Amino acid sequence: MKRQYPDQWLLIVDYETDDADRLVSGIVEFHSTDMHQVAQAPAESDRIAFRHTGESTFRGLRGYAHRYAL
Amino acid sequence: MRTVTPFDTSQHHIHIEFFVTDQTGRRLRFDGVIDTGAPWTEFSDEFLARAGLVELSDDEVPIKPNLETQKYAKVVLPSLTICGHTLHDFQVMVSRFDAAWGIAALIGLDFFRRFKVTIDYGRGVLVSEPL
Repeated sequence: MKRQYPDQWLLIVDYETDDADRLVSGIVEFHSTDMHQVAQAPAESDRIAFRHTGESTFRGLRGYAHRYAL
Repeated sequence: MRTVTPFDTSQHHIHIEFFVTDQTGRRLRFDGVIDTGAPWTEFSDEFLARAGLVELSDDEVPIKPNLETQKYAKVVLPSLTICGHTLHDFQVMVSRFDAAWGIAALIGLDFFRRFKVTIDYGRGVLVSEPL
């Protein structure tokens, strides 16, 4: 999924997980770089997963404050 | 029940997968980060809205001073499963998240203070069992 949809948010339906509850497969129903669009995209399945395929920029709240010059 | 949850040691933080069951019985899977400095678990309002647990407001969420996220409400999750442990009626903070974080929640100590937790970076696993 990361190779096919780089740096995007994915809405995945009918997903499967392994014994450690890690996502291992599913059907990409919707994808976009816009998190809001993906979060609100329709899906009929009872099993819906959200995944971001890019590198997380989260560096803790100190980094967040620095970024926004708080 | 003792569980062993693998995580990617190459990341800056401990990213884990977790599940929220909404009021209609749908099981929603998200990514989150373990935040041992946070007393409370925070969820992205965008994804809580997706689960039908909050309504998004068009009002601008104010950015708080100091080293805080943008918490602005509380909500009770019907069911939350992290590291194989399920908690019912678990209260979390509703927060505005930066989309570039790539996560839907910061998992705080309110969850982990219920467990004996071992973070083993050598094996890249988080071992947890109820107290």
